[in-house]
Amino acid sequence: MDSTPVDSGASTHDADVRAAQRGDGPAFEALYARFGRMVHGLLLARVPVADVDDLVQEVFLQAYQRLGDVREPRAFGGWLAAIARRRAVDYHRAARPVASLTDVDVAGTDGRRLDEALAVLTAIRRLPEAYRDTLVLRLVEGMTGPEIADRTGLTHGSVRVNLHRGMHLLRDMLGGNRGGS
Amino acid sequence: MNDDYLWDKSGEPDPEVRRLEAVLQPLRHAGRPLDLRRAPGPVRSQRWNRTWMPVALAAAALVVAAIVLWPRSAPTPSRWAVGSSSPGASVNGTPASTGAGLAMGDVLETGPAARLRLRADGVGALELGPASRLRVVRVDRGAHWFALDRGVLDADISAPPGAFAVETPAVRAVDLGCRYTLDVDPDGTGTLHVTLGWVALERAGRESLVPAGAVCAFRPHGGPGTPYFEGASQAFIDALARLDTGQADGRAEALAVALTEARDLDGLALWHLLTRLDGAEADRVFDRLGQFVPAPAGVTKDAVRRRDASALAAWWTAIGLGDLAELRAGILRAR
Repeated sequence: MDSTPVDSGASTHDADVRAAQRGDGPAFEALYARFGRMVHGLLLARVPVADVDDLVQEVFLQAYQRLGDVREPRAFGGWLAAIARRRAVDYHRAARPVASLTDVDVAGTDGRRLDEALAVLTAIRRLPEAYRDTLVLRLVEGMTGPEIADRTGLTHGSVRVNLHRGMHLLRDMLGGNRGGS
Repeated sequence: MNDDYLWDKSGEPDPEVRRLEAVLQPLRHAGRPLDLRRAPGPVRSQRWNRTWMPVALAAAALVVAAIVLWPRSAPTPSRWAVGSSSPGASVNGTPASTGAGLAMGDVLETGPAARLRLRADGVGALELGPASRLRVVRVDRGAHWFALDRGVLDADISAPPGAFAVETPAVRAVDLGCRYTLDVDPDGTGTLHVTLGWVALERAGRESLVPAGAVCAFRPHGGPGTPYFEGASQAFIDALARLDTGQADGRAEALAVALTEARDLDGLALWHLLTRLDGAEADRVFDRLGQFVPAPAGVTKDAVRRRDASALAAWWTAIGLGDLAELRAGILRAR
């Protein structure tokens, strides 16, 4: 059974946003603990795996400096998600050679298991953006649908539909590939 | 088996979902500690300044200084300026210079090999490609409207949905967040390619909603075409173009090809066709779309023929395209 804690999905981060805006470091670290998986997932859906952890740090540091832009604490998740997506765009826009999307070495993971994970991730990345994001957050980061809605600011209905449709497409893609692998 | 486990991990676990969770687990966020020492700390918002700065100044009995400083902390409209340019780029007929501000009515042009970059803090950045002509139509606090007469415009917008819009000879492109390319030929025909977020194209009551990964053609007197996701067959694209002309010649054949060539992902295109076709044509699209995404409860052929807004919105959501009302709210803000 998945050991990732599942919270109620209720937005309880307003006070942390307010405190962090006043320069409270621990409050911002609490936001990192709450939203880290979302940012990691959104980046994982877009940039080479090897660079994701560094970019997660960059996104949160950028957010920390720009926290004054957040007027409504409940909008923090959507605002942070936009920063992450934009950082991914900037990553690809930079005029420098980039690693393969699946160029990675995960400590403690054997190569065969990693190859299998990267093959599935590659299939997910071929899906439209809305399905790609929700599936990575659900299947990789272990977030539930209500958590995804709470963190990203999407409605429960949108997330549920994206999960359903995205999983349907992913099953088709993997089903088509399985015979040849 | 229902989707409860996929949704919130309740109910009977879906074996395939469980398998994928296990396979993908090595890629999960490891929770590396955040290193805030690299950050100088949050920059206080202008609102904070407006609230507390006068209090601090009053406490120090610096009334005169407060009077001087207060206007500086008031918000100012974002201003478009030239970010960079290459030889052959001009503003109002004179060579563009980096940092020059733009005003309503300004005309920006690029030569055959020139490029011009514009930016506005808090709004976004634009890049005008070669052989292009862009006009500043309106720029104030809530609205940033341009007109692309010809050429290529890359837009990367961070402003709220509906704040940024580009007129072309054939359509109006309303940014719903946040990155896309408009390509307009001298005769006014063109294409929109969205790479991030959503863009709405509209003209005379005809509307196309285009998400990331999708393309939409447009032409004068015809307005926005039917959007489709990249990777569609050329036969499908050609069939949509034929249907978009509205001409009777070859129409039945085009619809047949479009329905045959449609992929699972083409719910976007089929939904738009539903809103544009009538009678038996609409019924055929209804049936085909229903094979990919069953019509939600209450969405009937009769409701679609009547262009029932709630029925169309429900199917839009079922297709996986999100909340139609949210997109429409952004479009309304641009009017």
